[in-house]
Amino acid sequence: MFPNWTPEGPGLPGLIAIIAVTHVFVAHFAVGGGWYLILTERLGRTRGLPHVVGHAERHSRFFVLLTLVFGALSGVGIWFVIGLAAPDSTFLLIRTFVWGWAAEWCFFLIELTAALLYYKTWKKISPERHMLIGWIYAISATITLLIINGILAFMLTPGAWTQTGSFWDGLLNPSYIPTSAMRIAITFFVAGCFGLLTSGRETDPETRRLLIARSARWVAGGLIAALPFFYWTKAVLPDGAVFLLERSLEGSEGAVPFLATMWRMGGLAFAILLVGSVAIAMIKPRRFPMAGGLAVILLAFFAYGAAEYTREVLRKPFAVRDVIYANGILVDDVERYREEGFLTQFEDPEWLAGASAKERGYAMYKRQCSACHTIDGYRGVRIRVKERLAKSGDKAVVNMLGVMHKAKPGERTIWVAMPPLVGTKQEVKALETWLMGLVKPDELGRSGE
Amino acid sequence: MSFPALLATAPDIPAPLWLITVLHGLTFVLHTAAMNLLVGGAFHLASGGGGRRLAAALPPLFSITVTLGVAPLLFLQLVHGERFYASSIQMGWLWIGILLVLMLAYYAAYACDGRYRRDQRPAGWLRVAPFAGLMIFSFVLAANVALSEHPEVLGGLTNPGLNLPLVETGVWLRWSHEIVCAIAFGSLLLLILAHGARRDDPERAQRLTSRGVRTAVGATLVSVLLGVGQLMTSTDHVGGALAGMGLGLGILAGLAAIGMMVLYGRGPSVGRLVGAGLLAIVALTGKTILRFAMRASRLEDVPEAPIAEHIEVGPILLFLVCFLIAVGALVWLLRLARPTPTAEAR
Repeated sequence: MFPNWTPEGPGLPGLIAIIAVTHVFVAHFAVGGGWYLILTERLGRTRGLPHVVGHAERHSRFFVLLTLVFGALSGVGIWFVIGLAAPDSTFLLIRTFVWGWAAEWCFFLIELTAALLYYKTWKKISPERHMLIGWIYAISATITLLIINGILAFMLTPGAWTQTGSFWDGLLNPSYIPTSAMRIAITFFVAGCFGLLTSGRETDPETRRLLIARSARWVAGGLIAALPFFYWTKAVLPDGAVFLLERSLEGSEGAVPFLATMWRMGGLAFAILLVGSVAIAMIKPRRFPMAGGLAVILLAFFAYGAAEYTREVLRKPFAVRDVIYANGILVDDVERYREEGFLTQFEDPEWLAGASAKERGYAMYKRQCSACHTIDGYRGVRIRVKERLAKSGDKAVVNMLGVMHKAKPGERTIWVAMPPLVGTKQEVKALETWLMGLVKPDELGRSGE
Repeated sequence: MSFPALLATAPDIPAPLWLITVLHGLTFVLHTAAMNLLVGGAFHLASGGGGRRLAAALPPLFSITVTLGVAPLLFLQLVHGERFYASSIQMGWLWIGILLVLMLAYYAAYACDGRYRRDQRPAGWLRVAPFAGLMIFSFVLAANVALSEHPEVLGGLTNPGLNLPLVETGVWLRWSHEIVCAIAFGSLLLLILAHGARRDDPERAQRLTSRGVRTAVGATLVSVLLGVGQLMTSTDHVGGALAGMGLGLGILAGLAAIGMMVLYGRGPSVGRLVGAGLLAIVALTGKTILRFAMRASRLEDVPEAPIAEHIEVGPILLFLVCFLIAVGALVWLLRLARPTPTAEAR
């Protein structure tokens, strides 16, 4: 186990969410946008519409600035931040899928070169060759998505890998096909959203009308195409994930209320985008203001963020289902830590011998809770302790820790998104002492009222 | 935190260690070559040389450097992840923050290019921004890698997040040597740009060439001094015969590369330019061998989870096939992008 860094405010999970959601949104644009560019250029050239070709050229500059700079660096940012937040899980993934990532890198090289050449060679090479570069870009970008999605899907449904340890079983896991197809459809949706943003700025009225309607069709088409694969993905979710989702949607005790909120709000946002884009495609307006384009992007970003949040939470309490928990503890080590002790495995024995209960409790928090919680910021434990005490009385915390300590998540019906608490009874008691110490006595008094 | 207690066991690596090491080295050399051109280019942009052509070259160089950096970062994590994650965590805020710095530097390079395209000279601060950003990024990166190679320092750190031990890891010399070397080899970019400008603007080409050669020679002298200083301060971990070979190769090929650049300055030719480039890559290979050998020597006595191999041939073949496809596709793309007569290009 690695050293713990426990920043407050957004905390590490918040940092991951900020970097990952923005990166993945732009990365989907990098894939769908490639198809948008080449198909738009082809449309313009085959129908003899120079303004449409001009739009593709202008869109390609915006595309390169967003995907090659922000997209590429935020991708590195994900590496950086997951290494900080979940080094054990990242290490496991790297050692399992290094060849997958290496293969993806090969297509990154093609993608990058093709993107730069596509952008730089407008009007410098023949249209046929220019379009060929565009096709190469779109295909290589799609292949990168097909590879990385295998690793993302693996974390949710590792499938036979847990028995065989085979790369192929891990990559081509049960949710690989539906999630890959869904993501490809979503890339078209995202590309359409960005298309709406730039189409509205075209100066030729007929071109603008054509491109606005076409972009709206991409938005609607992407969403409609994603729908069956969404249901397919839902059908192959592990029982634990389905249970967590159902409990959360029911508003049950110990579920994740925010998951239900994001599920519903995200669904609503997608529905608004679908209805809105179908309407735009049918009405074929002559104008689509910049503000409208930005609103579409923001709503799509929110909907997309909600979908990614849902995917992340449905994986809980694991980083890789049935293999490693979100806090970096291997499933296979749980019983051992309960018998032999947890802190003794990682902390300096001299420090442990002299540490107070509160200090040991804080060490337990840092190593077992801080991967998902902060003290006063994102998913703050102080407010949760106060709420729990207010709701269920003075024994609420000790009862909760007791349940988490005794049973594995699959054997629990509450707090199913939380990993099991590991350590000896004394270590759990130390955590309780530290948690209770977060609430001042007078607040405790009020909370008991 | 006591370092030896980081990981009792670690997952197996899915390939022979030698293969990983070779691929790590090769991809690192490619990344370093691009990085040197980028840093050298940014240095000349900041100091007022190069102009429009240089500004146009920097954004693609940023992209290429970042993308080529992904593979060595991947292999570094695979083999040295245990210590690399630990050192990254120690400087967490800085480690995340430098990405923002790099992004701003990257956009500044695009902004410079855009200004020149509109026939405007970018403001001084804008020309300096890419180089300044690269300096900050490279410093924190060097500090992180240096810390990961000093487990005795790593083990003594508490309160992760803002730790940046500099003196104990000798990062100042290491970083400054890397940067000055990069400026020396990166000055080759000016020669490449000069070569392209020879027909249209021979006077400008001559100026670029002179500037590139002068900088390369001066920076080489400084980098040799810094390199010697770096070696003298790490005499207990020089890395044995392999390190000696790397050092010799690096110095000889490096000096030959600079010599070839000087020859190019006296009489430009494609052969001399390509020769200087190839020699620079050989020098970087020597530096990489030295770096790997010194790291191995430093970590020789560090108790950490043994690296077990669980070899699966299929995924290795997958990578090799993808790599061949990539090489083929890159060649094809470059052929496709060769300018065509104006009548054809519409």
